[in-house]
Amino acid sequence: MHLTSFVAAYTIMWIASIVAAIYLGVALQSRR
Amino acid sequence: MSDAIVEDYLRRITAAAADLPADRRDELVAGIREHIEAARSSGQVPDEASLRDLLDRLGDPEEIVATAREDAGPAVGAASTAVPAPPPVLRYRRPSIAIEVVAVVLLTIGSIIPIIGWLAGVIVAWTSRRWTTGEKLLATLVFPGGPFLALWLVTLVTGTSSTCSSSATIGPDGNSVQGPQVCTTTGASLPPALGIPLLVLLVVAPIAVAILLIVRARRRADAEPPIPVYAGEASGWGGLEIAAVLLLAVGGFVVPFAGPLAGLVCAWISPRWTTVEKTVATLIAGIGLVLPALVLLVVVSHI
Repeated sequence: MHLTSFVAAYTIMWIASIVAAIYLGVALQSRR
Repeated sequence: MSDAIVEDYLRRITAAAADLPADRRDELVAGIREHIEAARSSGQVPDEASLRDLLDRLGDPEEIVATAREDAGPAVGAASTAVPAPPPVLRYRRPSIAIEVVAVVLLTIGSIIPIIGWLAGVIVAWTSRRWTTGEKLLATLVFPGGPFLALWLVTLVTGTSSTCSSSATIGPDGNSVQGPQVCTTTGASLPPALGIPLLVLLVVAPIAVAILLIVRARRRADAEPPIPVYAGEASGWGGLEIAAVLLLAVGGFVVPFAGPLAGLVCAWISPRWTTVEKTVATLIAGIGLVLPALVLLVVVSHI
Protein backbone atom coordinates (compact mmCIF):
# COMPACT_ATOMS: atom_id res chain seq x y z
CA MET A 1 0.00 0.00 0.00
CA HIS A 2 2.76 2.41 1.03
CA LEU A 3 4.89 1.36 -1.92
CA THR A 4 1.95 2.06 -4.25
CA SER A 5 1.53 5.54 -2.75
CA PHE A 6 5.23 6.29 -3.20
CA VAL A 7 5.18 5.10 -6.81
CA ALA A 8 2.02 7.13 -7.54
CA ALA A 9 3.53 10.27 -5.95
CA TYR A 10 6.76 9.81 -7.91
CA THR A 11 4.86 9.28 -11.17
CA ILE A 12 2.73 12.39 -10.68
CA MET A 13 5.83 14.48 -9.98
CA TRP A 14 7.60 13.11 -13.04
CA ILE A 15 4.67 13.68 -15.43
CA ALA A 16 3.96 17.22 -14.21
CA SER A 17 7.64 18.16 -14.46
CA ILE A 18 7.89 16.81 -18.01
CA VAL A 19 4.76 18.73 -19.06
CA ALA A 20 6.28 21.92 -17.57
CA ALA A 21 9.56 21.26 -19.42
CA ILE A 22 7.73 20.74 -22.72
CA TYR A 23 5.77 23.96 -22.17
CA LEU A 24 8.91 26.02 -21.52
CA GLY A 25 10.66 24.44 -24.50
CA VAL A 26 7.78 25.16 -26.85
CA ALA A 27 7.42 28.73 -25.51
CA LEU A 28 11.08 29.44 -26.22
CA GLN A 29 11.19 27.65 -29.55
CA SER A 30 8.00 29.31 -30.86
CA ARG A 31 9.73 32.70 -30.69
CA ARG A 32 12.46 31.64 -33.11
CA MET B 1 7.95 52.90 -17.66
CA SER B 2 7.80 50.65 -20.75
CA ASP B 3 8.13 53.67 -23.06
CA ALA B 4 11.19 54.81 -21.13
CA ILE B 5 12.80 51.36 -21.55
CA VAL B 6 12.17 51.41 -25.32
CA GLU B 7 13.43 54.99 -25.68
CA ASP B 8 16.54 54.15 -23.69
CA TYR B 9 17.18 51.11 -25.91
CA LEU B 10 16.72 53.15 -29.11
CA ARG B 11 18.95 55.92 -27.68
CA ARG B 12 21.71 53.36 -27.16
CA ILE B 13 21.36 52.22 -30.79
CA THR B 14 21.47 55.83 -32.00
CA ALA B 15 24.59 56.46 -29.92
CA ALA B 16 26.28 53.28 -31.15
CA ALA B 17 25.42 54.18 -34.75
CA ALA B 18 26.84 57.70 -34.47
CA ASP B 19 29.42 56.98 -37.17
CA LEU B 20 26.85 55.67 -39.67
CA PRO B 21 25.34 58.00 -42.28
CA ALA B 22 22.34 59.86 -40.86
CA ASP B 23 19.82 58.26 -43.24
CA ARG B 24 21.16 54.76 -42.55
CA ARG B 25 21.07 55.42 -38.79
CA ASP B 26 17.49 56.72 -38.97
CA GLU B 27 16.43 53.75 -41.08
CA LEU B 28 17.96 51.32 -38.59
CA VAL B 29 16.32 52.96 -35.56
CA ALA B 30 12.96 53.27 -37.37
CA GLY B 31 13.03 49.58 -38.35
CA ILE B 32 13.67 48.44 -34.81
CA ARG B 33 11.09 50.86 -33.38
CA GLU B 34 8.54 49.50 -35.88
CA HIS B 35 9.29 45.92 -34.81
CA ILE B 36 8.88 46.79 -31.11
CA GLU B 37 5.63 48.67 -31.76
CA ALA B 38 4.24 45.76 -33.86
CA ALA B 39 5.01 43.34 -31.03
CA ARG B 40 3.41 45.64 -28.44
CA SER B 41 0.27 46.30 -30.48
CA SER B 42 -0.23 42.58 -31.11
CA GLY B 43 -0.17 41.96 -27.37
CA GLN B 44 3.06 39.95 -27.36
CA VAL B 45 4.58 42.20 -24.70
CA PRO B 46 1.87 42.69 -22.07
CA ASP B 47 4.24 43.62 -19.25
CA GLU B 48 7.64 45.08 -18.53
CA ALA B 49 9.32 41.69 -18.15
CA SER B 50 8.20 40.54 -21.59
CA LEU B 51 9.33 43.87 -23.07
CA ARG B 52 12.79 43.39 -21.57
CA ASP B 53 12.71 39.85 -22.91
CA LEU B 54 11.89 41.15 -26.40
CA LEU B 55 14.77 43.66 -26.25
CA ASP B 56 17.12 40.90 -25.05
CA ARG B 57 16.12 38.79 -28.02
CA LEU B 58 16.68 41.69 -30.39
CA GLY B 59 20.21 41.81 -29.06
CA ASP B 60 22.69 44.25 -27.65
CA PRO B 61 22.48 47.71 -29.38
CA GLU B 62 26.21 47.66 -30.10
CA GLU B 63 25.91 44.22 -31.74
CA ILE B 64 22.95 45.33 -33.89
CA VAL B 65 24.86 48.37 -35.10
CA ALA B 66 27.98 46.27 -35.73
CA THR B 67 25.89 43.87 -37.86
CA ALA B 68 24.33 46.76 -39.77
CA ARG B 69 27.80 48.20 -40.35
CA GLU B 70 29.07 44.87 -41.74
CA ASP B 71 26.00 44.55 -43.96
CA ALA B 72 26.67 47.99 -45.37
CA GLY B 73 30.27 47.10 -46.24
CA PRO B 74 33.60 48.62 -45.21
CA ALA B 75 32.94 51.88 -47.02
CA VAL B 76 30.27 52.88 -44.55
CA GLY B 77 31.62 54.74 -41.60
CA ALA B 78 32.89 57.54 -43.72
CA ALA B 79 29.92 59.88 -43.96
CA SER B 80 30.76 60.86 -47.52
CA THR B 81 30.13 57.34 -48.89
CA ALA B 82 26.54 57.02 -47.76
CA VAL B 83 25.37 53.86 -49.52
CA PRO B 84 21.92 52.72 -48.33
CA ALA B 85 22.30 49.27 -46.80
CA PRO B 86 19.52 46.68 -46.55
CA PRO B 87 17.71 46.58 -43.21
CA PRO B 88 19.28 44.11 -40.77
CA VAL B 89 16.37 41.70 -41.08
CA LEU B 90 17.42 38.17 -41.94
CA ARG B 91 13.92 36.90 -42.66
CA TYR B 92 10.29 37.17 -41.63
CA ARG B 93 8.58 34.28 -39.95
CA ARG B 94 4.94 33.32 -39.56
CA PRO B 95 3.64 33.84 -35.99
CA SER B 96 3.66 30.50 -34.20
CA ILE B 97 0.63 28.90 -32.53
CA ALA B 98 2.75 26.32 -30.70
CA ILE B 99 1.32 27.32 -27.31
CA GLU B 100 -2.26 26.80 -28.52
CA VAL B 101 -1.32 23.41 -30.01
CA VAL B 102 0.25 22.35 -26.68
CA ALA B 103 -2.94 23.42 -24.85
CA VAL B 104 -5.22 21.45 -27.19
CA VAL B 105 -3.03 18.32 -27.09
CA LEU B 106 -2.99 18.41 -23.27
CA LEU B 107 -6.75 18.98 -23.09
CA THR B 108 -7.52 15.99 -25.33
CA ILE B 109 -4.76 13.36 -25.55
CA GLY B 110 -3.16 14.68 -22.34
CA SER B 111 -6.27 13.78 -20.35
CA ILE B 112 -5.08 10.16 -20.50
CA ILE B 113 -2.96 11.28 -17.53
CA PRO B 114 -5.82 11.70 -15.03
CA ILE B 115 -6.41 15.28 -13.83
CA ILE B 116 -2.80 16.49 -14.31
CA GLY B 117 -2.72 16.39 -18.13
CA TRP B 118 -6.06 18.13 -18.50
CA LEU B 119 -5.34 20.67 -15.72
CA ALA B 120 -2.03 21.59 -17.37
CA GLY B 121 -3.94 22.07 -20.66
CA VAL B 122 -6.41 24.42 -18.98
CA ILE B 123 -3.60 26.50 -17.46
CA VAL B 124 -1.82 26.79 -20.83
CA ALA B 125 -5.09 27.52 -22.70
CA TRP B 126 -5.95 30.43 -20.41
CA THR B 127 -2.57 32.06 -21.11
CA SER B 128 -3.28 32.16 -24.85
CA ARG B 129 -3.92 35.65 -26.20
CA ARG B 130 -5.46 34.32 -29.41
CA TRP B 131 -8.57 32.82 -27.84
CA THR B 132 -11.49 34.79 -26.43
CA THR B 133 -12.80 34.14 -22.92
CA GLY B 134 -15.75 32.26 -24.46
CA GLU B 135 -13.42 29.97 -26.39
CA LYS B 136 -11.32 29.35 -23.28
CA LEU B 137 -14.49 28.44 -21.37
CA LEU B 138 -15.47 26.09 -24.19
CA ALA B 139 -12.05 24.44 -24.01
CA THR B 140 -12.41 24.08 -20.24
CA LEU B 141 -16.00 22.82 -20.14
CA VAL B 142 -15.91 20.28 -23.02
CA PHE B 143 -15.22 18.25 -20.91
CA PRO B 144 -13.89 18.96 -17.40
CA GLY B 145 -11.22 16.33 -16.88
CA GLY B 146 -10.93 15.68 -20.60
CA PRO B 147 -12.40 12.97 -22.84
CA PHE B 148 -10.43 10.14 -21.23
CA LEU B 149 -11.71 10.95 -17.73
CA ALA B 150 -15.27 11.14 -19.11
CA LEU B 151 -14.81 7.75 -20.79
CA TRP B 152 -13.46 6.22 -17.60
CA LEU B 153 -16.33 7.62 -15.54
CA VAL B 154 -18.90 6.24 -18.01
CA THR B 155 -17.16 2.86 -17.91
CA LEU B 156 -17.23 2.90 -14.10
CA VAL B 157 -20.90 3.92 -13.89
CA THR B 158 -22.24 1.61 -16.56
CA GLY B 159 -19.80 -1.28 -16.13
CA THR B 160 -21.50 -4.60 -15.45
CA SER B 161 -20.25 -7.81 -13.94
CA SER B 162 -21.88 -11.23 -13.86
CA THR B 163 -21.41 -14.01 -11.35
CA CYS B 164 -22.84 -17.50 -11.84
CA SER B 165 -23.28 -20.23 -9.24
CA SER B 166 -24.96 -23.55 -8.95
CA SER B 167 -25.64 -25.80 -6.02
CA ALA B 168 -25.06 -29.53 -5.87
CA THR B 169 -27.39 -31.92 -4.05
CA ILE B 170 -27.12 -35.61 -3.20
CA GLY B 171 -29.59 -37.63 -5.23
CA PRO B 172 -31.52 -40.73 -4.05
CA ASP B 173 -28.85 -42.99 -5.52
CA GLY B 174 -26.20 -41.26 -3.42
CA ASN B 175 -24.58 -39.45 -6.34
CA SER B 176 -24.10 -35.74 -6.51
CA VAL B 177 -26.62 -33.95 -8.72
CA GLN B 178 -25.67 -30.55 -10.15
CA GLY B 179 -28.45 -27.99 -9.64
CA PRO B 180 -29.49 -25.32 -12.14
CA GLN B 181 -26.96 -22.54 -12.74
CA VAL B 182 -28.05 -19.14 -11.38
CA CYS B 183 -26.43 -16.01 -12.81
CA THR B 184 -26.71 -12.55 -11.29
CA THR B 185 -25.65 -9.34 -13.01
CA THR B 186 -24.63 -6.29 -11.00
CA GLY B 187 -24.10 -2.68 -12.17
CA ALA B 188 -26.07 -0.53 -14.54
CA SER B 189 -26.05 -0.61 -18.32
CA LEU B 190 -27.26 1.94 -20.80
CA PRO B 191 -29.41 0.89 -23.76
CA PRO B 192 -27.39 0.99 -27.02
CA ALA B 193 -29.62 3.77 -28.34
CA LEU B 194 -28.38 6.00 -25.50
CA GLY B 195 -24.95 4.55 -24.77
CA ILE B 196 -23.48 4.70 -28.29
CA PRO B 197 -24.38 8.39 -28.92
CA LEU B 198 -23.05 9.24 -25.44
CA LEU B 199 -19.72 7.54 -26.17
CA VAL B 200 -19.49 9.26 -29.57
CA LEU B 201 -20.29 12.61 -27.93
CA LEU B 202 -17.59 12.11 -25.28
CA VAL B 203 -14.96 11.50 -27.96
CA VAL B 204 -16.18 13.63 -30.87
CA ALA B 205 -17.11 16.83 -28.98
CA PRO B 206 -13.63 17.47 -27.50
CA ILE B 207 -12.00 16.71 -30.87
CA ALA B 208 -14.42 19.09 -32.66
CA VAL B 209 -13.71 21.82 -30.09
CA ALA B 210 -9.95 21.20 -30.46
CA ILE B 211 -10.11 21.57 -34.27
CA LEU B 212 -12.26 24.72 -33.98
CA LEU B 213 -9.84 26.32 -31.51
CA ILE B 214 -6.75 25.50 -33.59
CA VAL B 215 -8.38 26.86 -36.78
CA ARG B 216 -9.31 30.10 -35.03
CA ALA B 217 -5.87 30.48 -33.44
CA ARG B 218 -4.20 29.92 -36.83
CA ARG B 219 -6.48 32.45 -38.54
CA ARG B 220 -5.77 35.09 -35.88
CA ALA B 221 -2.04 34.37 -35.96
CA ASP B 222 -2.02 34.77 -39.75
CA ALA B 223 -3.69 38.18 -39.36
CA GLU B 224 -0.78 39.32 -37.18
CA PRO B 225 2.22 40.99 -38.84
CA PRO B 226 5.05 38.59 -39.75
CA ILE B 227 7.82 38.61 -37.19
CA PRO B 228 11.20 39.83 -38.43
CA VAL B 229 14.25 37.87 -37.38
CA TYR B 230 17.20 40.22 -36.99
CA ALA B 231 20.80 39.46 -37.76
CA GLY B 232 21.89 40.39 -34.25
CA GLU B 233 19.07 38.54 -32.55
CA ALA B 234 20.29 36.53 -29.60
CA SER B 235 19.64 32.80 -29.54
CA GLY B 236 16.74 31.70 -27.34
CA TRP B 237 18.62 28.72 -25.89
CA GLY B 238 21.41 29.43 -23.46
CA GLY B 239 23.01 27.28 -20.77
CA LEU B 240 20.46 28.36 -18.18
CA GLU B 241 17.49 27.50 -20.41
CA ILE B 242 18.89 24.07 -21.34
CA ALA B 243 19.58 23.40 -17.64
CA ALA B 244 16.03 24.42 -16.68
CA VAL B 245 14.37 22.14 -19.26
CA LEU B 246 16.71 19.20 -18.58
CA LEU B 247 16.30 19.45 -14.79
CA LEU B 248 12.52 19.59 -15.16
CA ALA B 249 12.40 16.72 -17.64
CA VAL B 250 14.89 14.27 -16.11
CA GLY B 251 16.00 15.87 -12.81
CA GLY B 252 13.29 13.93 -10.98
CA PHE B 253 15.01 10.64 -11.91
CA VAL B 254 18.24 11.73 -10.28
CA VAL B 255 16.97 13.61 -7.24
CA PRO B 256 13.17 13.34 -6.70
CA PHE B 257 11.51 16.70 -6.02
CA ALA B 258 14.79 18.62 -5.69
CA GLY B 259 15.67 18.06 -9.39
CA PRO B 260 12.49 19.65 -10.83
CA LEU B 261 12.67 22.38 -8.16
CA ALA B 262 16.17 23.28 -9.33
CA GLY B 263 14.79 23.39 -12.89
CA LEU B 264 12.15 25.90 -11.82
CA VAL B 265 14.78 28.03 -10.10
CA CYS B 266 16.84 28.07 -13.34
CA ALA B 267 13.72 29.02 -15.32
CA TRP B 268 13.00 31.96 -13.00
CA ILE B 269 16.61 33.17 -13.19
CA SER B 270 16.57 33.03 -17.01
CA PRO B 271 15.68 36.30 -18.77
CA ARG B 272 14.49 34.44 -21.90
CA TRP B 273 11.07 33.46 -20.55
CA THR B 274 8.35 35.96 -19.68
CA THR B 275 6.87 36.15 -16.18
CA VAL B 276 3.64 34.57 -17.50
CA GLU B 277 5.52 31.61 -18.97
CA LYS B 278 7.50 31.12 -15.75
CA THR B 279 4.29 31.26 -13.69
CA VAL B 280 2.53 28.71 -15.94
CA ALA B 281 5.48 26.30 -15.75
CA THR B 282 5.59 26.71 -11.97
CA LEU B 283 1.85 26.01 -11.67
CA ILE B 284 2.09 22.87 -13.84
CA ALA B 285 5.19 21.52 -12.07
CA GLY B 286 3.67 22.63 -8.74
CA ILE B 287 0.76 20.23 -9.26
CA GLY B 288 3.31 17.43 -9.41
CA LEU B 289 5.33 18.66 -6.45
CA VAL B 290 2.66 19.71 -3.93
CA LEU B 291 0.15 16.87 -4.42
CA PRO B 292 2.68 14.02 -4.02
CA ALA B 293 4.28 15.84 -1.08
CA LEU B 294 0.89 15.92 0.65
CA VAL B 295 0.28 12.23 -0.17
CA LEU B 296 3.70 11.31 1.24
CA LEU B 297 3.06 13.37 4.39
CA VAL B 298 -0.21 11.52 4.98
CA VAL B 299 1.40 8.13 4.32
CA VAL B 300 4.41 8.84 6.56
CA SER B 301 2.18 10.10 9.38
CA HIS B 302 0.35 6.74 9.31
CA ILE B 303 3.47 4.58 9.44
